[in-house]
Amino acid sequence: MQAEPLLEIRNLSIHFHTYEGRARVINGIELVIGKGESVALVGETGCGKSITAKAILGLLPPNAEVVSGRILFQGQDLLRLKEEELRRIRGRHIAMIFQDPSTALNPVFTVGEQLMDVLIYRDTQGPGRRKDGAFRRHSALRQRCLEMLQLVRIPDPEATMARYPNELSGGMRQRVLIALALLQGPELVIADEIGTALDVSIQDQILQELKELVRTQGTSVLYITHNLGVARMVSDRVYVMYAGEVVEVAPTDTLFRRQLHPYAQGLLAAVPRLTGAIGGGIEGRIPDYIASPPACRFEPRCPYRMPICTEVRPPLVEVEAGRWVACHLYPHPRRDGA
Amino acid sequence: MAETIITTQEIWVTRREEARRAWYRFRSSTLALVGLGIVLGMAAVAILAPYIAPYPQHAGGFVDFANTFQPPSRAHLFGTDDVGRDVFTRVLFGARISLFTGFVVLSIALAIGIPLGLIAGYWTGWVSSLIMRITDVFLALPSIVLALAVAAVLKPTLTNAMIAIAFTWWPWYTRLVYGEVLSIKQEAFVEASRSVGASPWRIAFREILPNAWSPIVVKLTLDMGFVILVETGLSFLGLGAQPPTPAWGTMIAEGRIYMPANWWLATFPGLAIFLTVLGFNLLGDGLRDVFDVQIEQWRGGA
Amino acid sequence: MNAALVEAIDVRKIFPLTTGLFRRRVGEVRAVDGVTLTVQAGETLAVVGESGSGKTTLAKVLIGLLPPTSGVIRFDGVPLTGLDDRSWRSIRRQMQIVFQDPASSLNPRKRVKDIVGEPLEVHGIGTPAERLRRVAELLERVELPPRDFLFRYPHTLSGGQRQRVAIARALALNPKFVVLDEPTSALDVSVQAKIVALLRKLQQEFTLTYLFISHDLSLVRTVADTIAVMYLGKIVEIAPAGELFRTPAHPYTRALLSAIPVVDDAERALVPERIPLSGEIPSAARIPPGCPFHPRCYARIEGCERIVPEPVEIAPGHFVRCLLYDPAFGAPGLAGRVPVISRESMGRGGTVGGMG
Repeated sequence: MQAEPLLEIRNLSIHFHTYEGRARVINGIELVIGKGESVALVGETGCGKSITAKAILGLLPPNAEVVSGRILFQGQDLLRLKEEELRRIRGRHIAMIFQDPSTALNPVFTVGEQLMDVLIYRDTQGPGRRKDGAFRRHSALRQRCLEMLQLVRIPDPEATMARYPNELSGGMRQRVLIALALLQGPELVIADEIGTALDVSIQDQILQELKELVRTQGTSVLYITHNLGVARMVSDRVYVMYAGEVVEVAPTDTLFRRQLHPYAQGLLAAVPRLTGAIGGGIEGRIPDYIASPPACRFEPRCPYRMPICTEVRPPLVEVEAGRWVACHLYPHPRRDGA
Repeated sequence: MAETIITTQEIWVTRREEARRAWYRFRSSTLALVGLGIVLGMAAVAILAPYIAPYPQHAGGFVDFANTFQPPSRAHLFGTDDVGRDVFTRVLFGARISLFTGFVVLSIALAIGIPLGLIAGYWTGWVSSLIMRITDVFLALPSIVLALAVAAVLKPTLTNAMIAIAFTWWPWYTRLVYGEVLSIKQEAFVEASRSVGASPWRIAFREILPNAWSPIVVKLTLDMGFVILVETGLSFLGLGAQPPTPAWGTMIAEGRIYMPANWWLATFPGLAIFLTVLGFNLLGDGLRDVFDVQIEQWRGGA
Repeated sequence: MNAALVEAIDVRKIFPLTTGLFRRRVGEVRAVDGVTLTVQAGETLAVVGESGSGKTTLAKVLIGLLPPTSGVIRFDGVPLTGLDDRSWRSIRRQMQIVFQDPASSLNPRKRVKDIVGEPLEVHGIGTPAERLRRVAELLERVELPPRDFLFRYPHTLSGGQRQRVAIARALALNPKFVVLDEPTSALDVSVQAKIVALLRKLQQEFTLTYLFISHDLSLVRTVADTIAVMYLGKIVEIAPAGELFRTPAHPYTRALLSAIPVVDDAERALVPERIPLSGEIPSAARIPPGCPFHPRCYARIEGCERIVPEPVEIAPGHFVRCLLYDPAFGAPGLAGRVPVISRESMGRGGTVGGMG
């Protein structure tokens, strides 16, 4: 299912400068999102998935240093762009849906004002802008906002435009955030843990609707989540991240049926089952990024570790069609032969 | 069971590590370091004045009419004043007065303000309302005006000036602590303490107050500068330290009539005031930055 | 036969809403609206619900952090109201709570040893040296080596470690009854599994009785003996764990179960077909009349909007509050009333019932 790639992250490494030293937070990751594809980036706290999202949009904190790698989007390397060029891409071509609906909306502006703001700003920034004509175009922009609210299934778009965020329920706010992200018709949307602040039934509803919405619009989505059930529900392919590295990639159903990497196995086993069974979790903790394990970062916690795991870092190789894994358990002719 | 769980040395190591970390954060701001340097310098001057001043006997009543109005020279770094006293010595001694005043005033303000703020914030009801309304009344009066009024009623001495200023300063701390307590008492760990059976007093002082310290410390530092300014203002008007006490404000009051010809009488005390207040402000800002990061850190979670 | 350790009889907790200077009463929030349940000694009762269900308020009322507006709560046979100070303190020591968010339930200015030792200090138990020893022992019980953790501050600990500290604190006074309010919601999945294992181990070692509050049905399946489902202050269904999952009776329970995202293909068979719920959960200040769930219910019948259903026992230990099971209405049950969703209608914005 090789769709044409929309976003490609190649060998990205990011280090953070902290009091204790240099933290190798992202350690050479590869990620590809195809046109119209929904990809889930799954991992636990501290694995670096949020940092990856921020790197794509150029929103890294000041003490972060990109030491290597490229992020290719529509032929451009996002890491090499200047701030103004990045600003043109943010929102219009790559948009982000934030996690916490109660804090991501400005409480002193109405929903309508915040939506219109996005469009008006775009309108006055693009080529051929006409400040005098702005008033005439307002009604057209407003119409677009209303359409968007309808698309995200908000029951009364007109009334909602006049409301303030705190007058809406959590589910409604999340829908407004989605509308905000999709307003300019971006090709790629990054959804950062959406729904985790909401009730399960609402989260379920919203994710299903979002899934349908992006399908009809042909938008690619990068879902960042720690919730495996959510990943299964919304994505076509899954990337599993551990300690700043991608350890396994597979089409969604394939991954959930059988995991190759021991971390992915442990993770899936730890999810409570409806039969009442629950795995034992994974021993140990995530490694120190400053003094990280020399080769495989999962080795200290791995039930299958071998001597080679402390000597050679396992590369991410394709062991079956569309299935990649970074683990010495899986012999790979090309890698081992040469 | 006499096994040692943890040795004293290990405890010291941990504490030293934490101190080092805090210092690292503080160190990252040059201005804060400058502020710290100035404050420490001033404190050293204040403590060591009698030993480092070239003419300690000039600090009080002393006359030498042969040496009046000497411009700054090697013998007299800041020159001499209208009765022949060494200005440099007097400026050094002035530091003692200013810092001492700040210290006393703020101690009183804390001693009154913190308990009142805690009580008003933690216990709701008419007590809280009463305390806050009284605080509001005091806050409504401009501190300088009130200090003037109080000082005018009492005899004009340094002690009375300090009392007057403290009178106007405590409400700010009450209000600050009140606000902090209101927000902290919503936190889960306060509820956890309640669920264990802790009494309200214990919770107020042992759980909530330690979490309210950061803004208090920052305000204290910034306030030192302002209290010193008010004190010099009062002294300048003759309502605080009286001559021949070498308070900076008094020195300016005495020296300004000789401007601009004998500029050194009023200028150096003025510069000293400026430097001191600047130092405290920079230090306070630096502390605030350190504390903000700390708060962000623990709220952000691991 | 286990003895009942905690009993709640028709407990209500109502918060008045007031405005204005004179605190005029303009409404009320019925957080807990007539709850009756029993927790057997040594078992784990799970209370499941979404926001506004009142589950956290119920927990706080049960362990005496909040006084009930009406109703009776008994601990080990002793009613919790009308106790003198001494008896109250003695009973309070036997009930403890572990809060949801480990980041905020530990005082950031206190070291671990002071946090865990606080209950001992408050109740004046032992000398400081004895307390330190006990704290060290507790830390070992929760699998945190004392040497490394006694002097740490909470912000240097991971989520799982913080929660272990919170559990150690809850065990300091040797309680019999521990309320766990979403103890793992803020934790990663692999850490959650370890905390669950720890809780199980501790329950065995100390014969603890747990009240486990959660919104996560599949988690609850692995820890609970009995499960109670709450909605807007009422328990709408309560049953032994396996029974609830095999034969969920209440329409809300069914809908909740159907929304569980399953990770295993094998589990799919255990979950009902997807039932999307229309509308959002109403605020607890404006609880609908009659059955609180009726505006969103896909199986409602005539009478649901007027009559508050009483609990009906449909199987041993399995109670439901729903007119569909009430003999007075013919007890038709849920069969044939569950909406059937086809994949196509899902896609075309055709969720059953629409959006309100």
